[in-house]
Amino acid sequence: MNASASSAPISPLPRVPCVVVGVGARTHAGLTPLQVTLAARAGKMRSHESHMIDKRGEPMAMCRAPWIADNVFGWDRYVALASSSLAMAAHPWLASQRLRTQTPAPIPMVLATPPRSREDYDPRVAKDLLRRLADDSGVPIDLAKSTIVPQCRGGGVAAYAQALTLLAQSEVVIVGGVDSYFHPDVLEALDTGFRLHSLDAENGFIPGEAAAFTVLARRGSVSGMHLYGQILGASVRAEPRPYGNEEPCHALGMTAAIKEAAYAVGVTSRRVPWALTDVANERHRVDEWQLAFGRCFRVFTPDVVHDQPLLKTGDVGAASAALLLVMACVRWQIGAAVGDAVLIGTHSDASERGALLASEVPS
Amino acid sequence: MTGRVVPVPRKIRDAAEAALFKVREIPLDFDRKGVAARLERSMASAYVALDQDPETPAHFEGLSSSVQALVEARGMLLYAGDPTKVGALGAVVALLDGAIREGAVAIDALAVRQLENRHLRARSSESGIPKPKPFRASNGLPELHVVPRLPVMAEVDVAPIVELAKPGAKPPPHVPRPKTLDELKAFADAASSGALAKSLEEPEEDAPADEKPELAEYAYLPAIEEAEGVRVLARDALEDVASLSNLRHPIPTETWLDQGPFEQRLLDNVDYFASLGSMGLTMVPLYHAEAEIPDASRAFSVAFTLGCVSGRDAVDVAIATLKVSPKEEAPGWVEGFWLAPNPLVDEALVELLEAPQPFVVGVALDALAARGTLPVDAPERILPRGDPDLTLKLVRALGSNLPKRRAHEILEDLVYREAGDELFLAAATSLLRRGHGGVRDLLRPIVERPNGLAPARVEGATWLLALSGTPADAARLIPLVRAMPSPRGARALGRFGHLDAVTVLWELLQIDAELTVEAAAESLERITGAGLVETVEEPWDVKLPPEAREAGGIPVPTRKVKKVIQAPEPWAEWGRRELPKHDPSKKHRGGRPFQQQMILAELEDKATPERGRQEATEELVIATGLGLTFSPSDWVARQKQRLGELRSAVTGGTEGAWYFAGAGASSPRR
Repeated sequence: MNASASSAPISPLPRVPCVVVGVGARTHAGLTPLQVTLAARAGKMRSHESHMIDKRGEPMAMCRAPWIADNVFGWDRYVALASSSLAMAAHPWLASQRLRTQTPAPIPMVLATPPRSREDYDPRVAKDLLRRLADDSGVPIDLAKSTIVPQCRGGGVAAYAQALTLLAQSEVVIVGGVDSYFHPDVLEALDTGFRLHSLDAENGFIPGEAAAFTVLARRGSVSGMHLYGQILGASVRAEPRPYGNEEPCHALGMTAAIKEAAYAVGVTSRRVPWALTDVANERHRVDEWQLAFGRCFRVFTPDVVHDQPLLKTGDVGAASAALLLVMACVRWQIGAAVGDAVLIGTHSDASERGALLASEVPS
Repeated sequence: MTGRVVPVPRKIRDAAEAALFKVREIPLDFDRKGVAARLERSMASAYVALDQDPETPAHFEGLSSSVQALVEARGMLLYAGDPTKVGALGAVVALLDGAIREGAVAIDALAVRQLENRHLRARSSESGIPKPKPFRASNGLPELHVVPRLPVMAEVDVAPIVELAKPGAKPPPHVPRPKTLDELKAFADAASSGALAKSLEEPEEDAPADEKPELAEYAYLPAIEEAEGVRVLARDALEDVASLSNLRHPIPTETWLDQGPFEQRLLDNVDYFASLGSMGLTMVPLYHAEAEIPDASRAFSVAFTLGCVSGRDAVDVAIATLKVSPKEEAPGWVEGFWLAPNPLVDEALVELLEAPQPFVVGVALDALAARGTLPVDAPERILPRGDPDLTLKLVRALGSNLPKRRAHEILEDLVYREAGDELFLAAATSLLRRGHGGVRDLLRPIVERPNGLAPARVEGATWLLALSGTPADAARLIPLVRAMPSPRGARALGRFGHLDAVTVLWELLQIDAELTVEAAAESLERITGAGLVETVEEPWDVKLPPEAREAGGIPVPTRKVKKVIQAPEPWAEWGRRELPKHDPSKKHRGGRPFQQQMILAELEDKATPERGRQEATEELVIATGLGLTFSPSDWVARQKQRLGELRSAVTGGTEGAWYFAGAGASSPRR
């Protein structure tokens, strides 16, 4: 360990141009960002058995929203999950715009969705999901400038990286993610691949579903609005040896992503006290994160806290990054945060590894 | 009596609630749920009036609606029967009559007042709607949450608890009213031919029983309403609050600091519950009502959770639920109300001091005492009842409540009067806690001449004199413990800290009484700090079910525990070697001359067991006159905060002195 690095003074948080002015989220344990965040904080995990049967003949259980029927899958489920949380996230911005200009301008959106390679892939998601969400939520979305990022959990951070670029042209961007593992084909594939957690299988995860949205805006255009947080950096790197590779994984992708997200804003001397990750019990994900965590020790404070809220919400796939950021923002707002800055880490089933650095807005 | 002015909406609300509780006693068949709904509407409207400034139209509206709902309920009750003939009905109607009369007068007065002050109203509306309070998370201590809602109501069962009166004459059959000329003509023909009379005399065919529609069966789980889903989540949170209320109580294998994480989880659940909003609040009374047996943890959950929500209606629901709950739940109610952050809890509990049920008064007394908010007139409200249990609770409460002089007056009256052992000792303890030195002169004769007295009185007096006595009391305490050995007596000598007690404690190690030997060894270590400890395998306290016991039990598992050595030889050797080095004129603790800060160190030490912390708390208050509101059962965060405050308050003092009420007494050097 470099002694000079450990004793280096901690520099104050920088003020960056990208701030979060709206949040919205929905999981099986809450309809609002506050409920979702406090449910995970209180350790609420309500997984229910479903009518689907696994290969042992047992009903499959997962964390799914009870207010959506169990015969609703895929596209329809995404819409049911995402519409209201999108409206909730966009409300503060739209309200402030209506006060100023009467008619809010359409907003570009970047939405993380499940990957094309997944068994429940529906071509309508890429083609029509944004339009449908705009119709259902009443949020004016600039469809021409909006994109879908179908890249699993790592794609959630990729959406933020794209949004930071978009913010150069637009004063506001909506970034979000929606995902649900509640689909017969997806659950069957996970079951076949021994990836579902159960009484007989410790090394697996509990599937979940969620939608989460954040509204990012340029600092100069948000006077009078509540600022939930600011985005300091986002990076997505490829893991050369993801799960399934014959060679052992050395977490090179996640290590590079963390360093890029943190070093870009000068966070090099033990600044980040809090890590929020999508690690949800699968052993290879636990090992990979721990390797990357150890390699990037200079980024984190010695007493850094590693939070894993997806152990309580269930794995929420492409919605992970946005959901974790919403949780951090709400905890800053209500005075329940572990620290003033957070590093959000997400790992795709494929090679994408994402690191997003966010913080409270310095006063 | 307080002589405080109760607002009219509050009186109406209370009358509606009292009527609601009495509906069950009416022995008539009538629309109970309809009456209950109107009474609840009256209570909800009364809250609207209470929450608004009397100058506002909303106050007027709330008061008017509240009275109107009472009028409707009264009408339904009069339709059910004759209040002059059915006593229970008459009582409810009389209650409503009184409230309606008072409400009508208030409405008239309000109308005149609002008319006169109408020029003020436009100005007051300019101030705008107050901003909602932002949500703050509970960190270590509970936050008071603002939950936007309609007033929340208690779940009161209005099913009859008395045998219903037999129905009277059958009501006349319904004859449809003719609406056209043809129908009128047919009616006239039927009446004149006698066909109508005949049809009315024939018994009506039994109407077919309502067939319940078959529930649709799905192969999958259908969606539920969002509100219903939220209620399920709220119930889940309430259940966890109940479980964690037990987990925050210390167990022998954990330190007091280990309760912290459980407390935080409890608070996390309350925060989550509050985030669910008004839909969650409606679950609270239902959650309590669903229990089939008394459950103190559910009572805690109701009292504490509602006590974390701002507004008097939430507290009133908890109080109403308390009134209909079994007395076995008292510990849960007391703890829940004690820890709840809503300041309106005090106001509501004070009103309960005049409740007819002793159990409810007892809960209010204990909770107010723990909160340190017992009203000054509490003795006048409690003592005339002549209830021994309530008197005992009041006496204990006076150990930390009411102005010192007032507490002394009442306690002196009790302690100098011929009182039972328990009441005498409780009063003496409270007097010592409030710095009353004179009571020691009542304790000394008991210790000097114990013959013929109850062992409990003697042991209690020994304990109290050991905590409050002077060095001269060694001549009373030490011979007594030698003559009447007991665990409490041995522990008392340890706290007393006189070096002459070492020999007696060493003698007690050799008697055949396990608990006394253990207490004597602990006291020796407390005085000498010799460090004579050993690690022993101690069996767990396992409570086997009867079947397992009858089958011969199971091998009881053991755990390693550090204990003070109980063999007399090592202590004898230590005494020969080390005792002469110490000054016998000084009070000793841990091998050093006593200082008041040592009690604080004992309270802060994570190794101090629960009983030790309770004893140390009592010693702290009696010795220093400080820490009246410190409790070893409080939130860990608050205990740390209070201990920090006490650290800065307890300073200096004479080393090795015997302290009482902050003043030290020294022994002449031998």
